[in-house]
Amino acid sequence: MFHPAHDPHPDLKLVRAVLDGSPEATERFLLHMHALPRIAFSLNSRNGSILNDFELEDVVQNCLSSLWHQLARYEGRGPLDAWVLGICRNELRRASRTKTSIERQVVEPLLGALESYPAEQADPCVDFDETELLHQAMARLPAGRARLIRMKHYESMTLGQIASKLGLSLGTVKADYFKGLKQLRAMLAEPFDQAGPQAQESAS
Amino acid sequence: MNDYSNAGLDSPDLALPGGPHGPEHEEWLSSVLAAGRSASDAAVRGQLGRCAECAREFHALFSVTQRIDREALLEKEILAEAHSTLPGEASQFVLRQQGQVDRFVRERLAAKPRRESAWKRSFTLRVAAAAATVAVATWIVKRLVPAGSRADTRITLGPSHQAILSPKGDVLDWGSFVWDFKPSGTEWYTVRIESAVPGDGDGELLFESDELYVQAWQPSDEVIAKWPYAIRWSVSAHAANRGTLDTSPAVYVRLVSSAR
Repeated sequence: MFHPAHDPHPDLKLVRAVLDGSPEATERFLLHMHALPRIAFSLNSRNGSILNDFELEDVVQNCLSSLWHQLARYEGRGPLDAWVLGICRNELRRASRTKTSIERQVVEPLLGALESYPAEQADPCVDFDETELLHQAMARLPAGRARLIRMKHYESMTLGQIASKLGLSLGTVKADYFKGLKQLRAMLAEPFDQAGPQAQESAS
Repeated sequence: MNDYSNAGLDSPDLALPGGPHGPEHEEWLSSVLAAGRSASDAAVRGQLGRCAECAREFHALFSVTQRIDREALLEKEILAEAHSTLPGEASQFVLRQQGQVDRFVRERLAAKPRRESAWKRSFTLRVAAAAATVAVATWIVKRLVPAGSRADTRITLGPSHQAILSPKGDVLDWGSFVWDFKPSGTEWYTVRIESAVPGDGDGELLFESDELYVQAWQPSDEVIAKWPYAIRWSVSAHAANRGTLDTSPAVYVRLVSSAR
């Protein structure tokens, strides 16, 4: 089966330079990593601000640990910031779910009788499960095909531009894009893995 | 966004081939989806009415593309926010956490044995082989040439040591700028300050000092007031008759809050 050549994102070079110990690359890498707390903050806000500052701080620490362990596995399927976002989303989802679960099972029964118990939190604007399901599916696509779909939908490139960038015929890119969509459809119909991807690079 | 010209569609009104659903219908579907056409497009809707299998496939795959588009939009929004600043306490939280991120990454990198690239490994081996060859050749020459005829071949290393002492990394205030860097013949220094805020004039020159005759500089409050929270600074050594002698590597410094 044909897959278009994997054209990794330029951030892959940066990550490799960091792992090789380049001081200059480390400074540039840190600028990307500075986005992490802001991403955690934004995601939490969109999720109804379920986590307080202390819990969000734990999320950032867990993200860092996770990022560091997975850094050598970054494949350049997308920009580094998007990869950080994927890992942060997983950690935030896990922490939010744990907190919500504890509140439902322990706190609410205890406080349910009290009239002063606050009303439910604001509805989250982001459905983390739906988002995660899509990213899990994208991560299971062949790297080249995932990159192609990313270029079309995330980077707003036309198939003609993608074909030109990858040095492939338009027909080949179009056929592979179509196969990628079909694969995604099949994977999205599968039962959701509640544990989420542990070590794979998110499609982001 | 429609993409007719680049998706292999000669015309938006490309007709659905007749007969039962088969490879030609699949080709039609791939062209229509690649072009980003929706069922609200009258031409597409009309064609879908002629083949139930095409209609089912189209709606299922089109919903996948919409789902990806929603995710792409969300990602763009969050990443755009990621490099913007937040007001008040939220900003304090982000700044504190960025300080933690810096410490975490720098500590891990400092503790990590450096991985040499294949090129570097190859280069190192070649240098080692060349050094061994030179050593053997030197030994042979020493054995063959009488001791009295040897010239003094000692080499003195040049003033290549460069060090910026402070400030570096995360700091509570900028403090004094101090360096230990004096190439031979240095008469004065200049300090250069650049912005290091991503997406906000990163790399833009903020300040260049006048001639400094000691290895330290204290910027005035007026100068500091114009700086963002993150800068890169470097120092250059100069001599009147030789111009700029050398420049130190630029060092990243970030002002963090002392709260919490």
